[in-house]
Amino acid sequence: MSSKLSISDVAGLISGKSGLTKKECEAIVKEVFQLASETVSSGESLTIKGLGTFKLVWVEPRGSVDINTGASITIPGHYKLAYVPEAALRNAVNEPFAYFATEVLPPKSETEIEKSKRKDVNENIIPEPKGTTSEEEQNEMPSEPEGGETAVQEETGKNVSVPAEQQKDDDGEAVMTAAEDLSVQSDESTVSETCETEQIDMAVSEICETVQQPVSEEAATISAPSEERAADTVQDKADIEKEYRRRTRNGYIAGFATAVLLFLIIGGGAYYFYSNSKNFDITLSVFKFPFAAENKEEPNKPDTAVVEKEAGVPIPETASESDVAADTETVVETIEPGKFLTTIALKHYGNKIFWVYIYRENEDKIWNPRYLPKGFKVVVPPRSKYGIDSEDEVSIRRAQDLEKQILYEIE
Amino acid sequence: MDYKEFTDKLQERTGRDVAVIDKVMSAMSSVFKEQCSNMNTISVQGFGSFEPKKKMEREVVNPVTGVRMLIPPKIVLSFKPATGIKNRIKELRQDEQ
Repeated sequence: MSSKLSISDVAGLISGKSGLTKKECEAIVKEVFQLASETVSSGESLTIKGLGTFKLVWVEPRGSVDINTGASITIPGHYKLAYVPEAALRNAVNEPFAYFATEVLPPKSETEIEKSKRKDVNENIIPEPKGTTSEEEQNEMPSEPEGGETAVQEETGKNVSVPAEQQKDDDGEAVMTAAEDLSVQSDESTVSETCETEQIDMAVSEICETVQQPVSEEAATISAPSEERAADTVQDKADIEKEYRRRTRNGYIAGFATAVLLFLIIGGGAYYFYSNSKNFDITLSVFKFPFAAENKEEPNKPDTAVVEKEAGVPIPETASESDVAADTETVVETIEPGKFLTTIALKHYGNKIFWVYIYRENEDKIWNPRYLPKGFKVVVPPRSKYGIDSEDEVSIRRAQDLEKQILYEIE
Repeated sequence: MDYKEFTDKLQERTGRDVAVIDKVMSAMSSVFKEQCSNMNTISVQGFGSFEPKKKMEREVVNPVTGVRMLIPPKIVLSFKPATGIKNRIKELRQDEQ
C-alpha cells in the first residue's frame, strides 16, 4: 500500500512472473527504460504496449512573477513530456471508482440558494432548546442503517410512545367522543360542547406538560450518541482516504455507508435548521418540506376524487392508517417518521393547507405542530366540521388565513 | 516510435531472443497494472516515476449550455519525468527554434 518500488523491485516481480532470473529481468527492464528515455529525449513520441504513450507537448511561453524580486518575467515556451496510460492500465488503476459515471446535475435549485441564504442567517440565529433539537434527530434516526443506533432509537421510540399511549387512555376517549358529538350536532351546540371539553382540555394539557418532560429528557440522551456518531463519521472519513488506497471491498462498502451517513447528517442538519429558523420565509418552506416541490401536489389531485367517492362509506373510528377521512367520521392517525400534519391533511383532504384544521382539532395536545412525537395519535376531524373542500378556493383561502394565524401564535 | 520498432531496437541492444523480450514486456505490463492498482509508486531511475493519484469529484459547468455535471472521483496514473530527462526535453526547444 502506497509504497515506492524501484526498478529492481519491479525486476524481482517480473522474474517471478516470467520465470527468468532476476538479474536478466533487471538488465532487460533497465534497457527498456534506457531506450525509452533516449527515444523520448530525441523528441520522438513513444508507445509501449501495456504501459501507454509518451509524447512531447509544446508549452506556450507565459508571463509570471519572480517569487523573490516580484518582477514580472516570461517563462519561455518549452516542451514537456506528457504521458497517457493505456486504457487497460487506466481502468485497472481506476477500478475502485469504475462504477461511477459523470452525472448531469439539475440547475441550481432553490435549496442551494437557501443554503447560501442560511449561511447569512446562521450568524444571528439563536440556539434552540436542546429538547427540540434532538427530537428532530430522533425522527431522522429510524432510517439509520447502523445496528447500535437503531437499538437506542427503538428504546426511545418506546419511551416516547408509552406516555402518548397513556395520555390517550386518559383523555383520548373523552376528547374523541366529544369530537364525534360535535360533528353530529349543529353549530349552536358546538359552543356549549366546546365549553364542556375545555375542562378535559385543561387536563390534557397538564398531562401534555408532564409528558413533554420525559420526552425531552429522553431526547437529550439521544443527542449524545448522535454526536458520537458525527465524530465517528469524521473518523470514517479519514479512514476512507486510506481505504481508497487499499482498494479493498470493505473500503467500498464503508465508503458507501459514509456517503449515506453524511447525506443523512447533512439532510438532518438542513431540516433541523429549516425547522428552527425564525425567518418567516423559511418557516413557510418547512410546511412545504415534505413535498419538496409544489407541483408534486398535482399528481395527488386525482387521488382526491377517489377519496371523496369512498367518503360515503362509513369508516370505523379506530381506522388504520390506510383509511381515508370521511365526510362525517373522525379518523385517528398515528404519527410516524416522515408523517406530518401536512401529509395527513393531503391524504385526507386532498390539500396540505388543511393541516391547520387537524392542528386546531388537536391543539390542546400539540405543543408545537412541527414536533410531533412518534406514536402520537392525531384526531383527524371530518370534512364537514370545518367546511373543508380542496376544490373550493374560498375554503383553501380560509385555511391559508388560519395558517398565518397559527404560525403567528406558535412563533 | 511504435511498439514494434521499440521491441526491435530493444532486441538489437540486449541481444536477446524475441520470445524473452516479449515475455519480460508482458510481465512488466502486468506488474505495472498490479502495483499501480495497489496505489504503489514505481520509480525508474533516470526516466521518471509512475504514481497513481486520487482525484476528488468535482463539479463542472458547460459554458455553452450551462449544464452542470458532476465528475466522479477517480484514480489516475500520473507520470513525472525525472529531472534529467525533463531538462533534456526542455532544451529541445532551443534546437527547434
